[in-house]
Amino acid sequence: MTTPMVEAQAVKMYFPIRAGVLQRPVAWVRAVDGVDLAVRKGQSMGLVGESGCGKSTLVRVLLRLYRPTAGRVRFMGQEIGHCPDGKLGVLRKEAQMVFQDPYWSLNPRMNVGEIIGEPLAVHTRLSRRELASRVEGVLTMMGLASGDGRRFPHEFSGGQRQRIAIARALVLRPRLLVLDEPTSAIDALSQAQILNLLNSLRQELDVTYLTVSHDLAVVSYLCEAITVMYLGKVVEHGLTRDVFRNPLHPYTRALMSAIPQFTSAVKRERIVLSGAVPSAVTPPPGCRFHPRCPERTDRCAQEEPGLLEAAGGHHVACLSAPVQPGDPH
Amino acid sequence: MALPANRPRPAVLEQIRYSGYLITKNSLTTVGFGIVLVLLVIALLAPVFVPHPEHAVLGTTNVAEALRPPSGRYLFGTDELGRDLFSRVIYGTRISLQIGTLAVGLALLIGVPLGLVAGYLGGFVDEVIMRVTDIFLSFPPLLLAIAVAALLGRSLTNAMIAIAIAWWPWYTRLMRGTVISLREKPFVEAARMMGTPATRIMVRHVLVNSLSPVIVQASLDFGSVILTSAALSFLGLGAQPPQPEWGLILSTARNYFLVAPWYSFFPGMAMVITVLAFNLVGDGLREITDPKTRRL
Repeated sequence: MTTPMVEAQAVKMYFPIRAGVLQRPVAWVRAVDGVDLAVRKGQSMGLVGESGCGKSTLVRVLLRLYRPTAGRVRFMGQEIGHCPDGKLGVLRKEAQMVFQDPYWSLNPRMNVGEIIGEPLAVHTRLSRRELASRVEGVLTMMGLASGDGRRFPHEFSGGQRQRIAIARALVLRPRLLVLDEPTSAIDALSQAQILNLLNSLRQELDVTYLTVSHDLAVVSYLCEAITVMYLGKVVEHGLTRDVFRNPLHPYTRALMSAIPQFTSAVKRERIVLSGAVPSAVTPPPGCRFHPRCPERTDRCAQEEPGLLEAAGGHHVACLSAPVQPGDPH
Repeated sequence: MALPANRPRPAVLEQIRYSGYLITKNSLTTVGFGIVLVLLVIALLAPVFVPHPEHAVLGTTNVAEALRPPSGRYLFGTDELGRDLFSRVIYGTRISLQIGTLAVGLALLIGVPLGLVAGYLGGFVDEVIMRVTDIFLSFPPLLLAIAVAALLGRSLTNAMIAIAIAWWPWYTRLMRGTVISLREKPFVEAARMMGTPATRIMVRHVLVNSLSPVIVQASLDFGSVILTSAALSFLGLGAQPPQPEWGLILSTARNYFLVAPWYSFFPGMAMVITVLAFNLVGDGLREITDPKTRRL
């Protein structure tokens, strides 16, 4: 098997809650609590889950904005979870990210040309003219005017700003593009345009995508594989088509049932989860989903389910799910 | 973001014109900017229209004309050595603006980088820098300035240094707060993620976006700094005779307050007007740089 583009092994990311005069940590927020994840080269992987489930934290660990509390992260085969900042050159050049908020993700005091040119200025020794022509090239690729480089972010709409952010992320021709809720802050029409653009860019540029979203429609459109997270853990993972057709985890089923439907031909039953997401400081024992699970059994409160393979490449972490025996993953 | 999307391109000229519009929108701000402008012109052109520059810059005296009340010949009257007060007060404008600019400038030069580093790096560095500012801030600024000025020796330059030493912690604090709120913004995260060196992030992304509050504060402080330096000179720790510094003039004038009230009145008024004007400008700038009014 080839080395994955990015790979997490038993990654934990705990944030301390400090209190008292000495600012000692009194508790830990377990934002990511033991996650295994591998994104293959050329794949488009979606990471879904509710707000606060740790998906954004996980990608920030994968890109080493945070040092993981425990576990290993490899990017293109190289260990990056704990190495010194100076050794992150490949990661910083080959992995880029597009943020959710198209307003604050662009420096309001820099013009668009400077914004898009910055990765080039940091990683290459292009002349001013070469740099300008690269910036212009990527602007056109994004469907923006080449003269837009002299304008400032506040002169653009949300959708246009997100294009600028994508241009900045792609100008170095990275191998991995992380999209953190790329369309959730913009209007529906721009959303559709951005998604189309992202899809065609992926084929054109041969980039690996890792998309974080709470919007299953976005993920189903953009991603071949999908990973569902709940309270810092992966609960289900598989090809998008398998997961959508046959969601194995009760939580995934609840998420699926919440997708709005335009046709009423097939009346689907809506699974409404009761209660709120429990605190990540004191996660419930056993299966973390059991207090809200409509299908819980007595075992669920005691035993923590592992992520096991149910069918070819389709994994689930649920005690009641039909898994293949003897596969420790 | 507060601007409509179809606003024409903000060329530099456009920006200046827009700033002009915002300044003239509020009449008090207009007055403030107007007075500051006049003060600047007076300071620059002092040698051109002052009748007795030798009374201001040289130690020339004219004891025969001592303590004359204001008249056509001596607009503001004369002092106990017969020097033309008008010339001296006008020249004092120069000194005061110089003190304001240099002392505030020096304080900014020390305070802003420290606040930037403390806020951006956080952790141990932040802890050390902030504890040092705490120590400085636990003294009343005038007292601290007096102590430093006394330590450095009596001169106008030392007074300016003393004031800067008393003032920088405020800029460090203000800067640190702004920087901390900017540090977590996605455009800073984006820069870190693309491998931009920390120094470049601090200057190109954080510093340029956190200067507005500091600039406002600096313009407000301009007045207080002029007052503090006048106080130092009044106490004999700042400007030395025969320098026409307002505080120094006042400290001599108080001896003649009953016989020659104009002697105190004119330098006092000059100080009041100057400080007031800079406060108005500061308030105006605060409004102009407010993101609700505009994104500067």
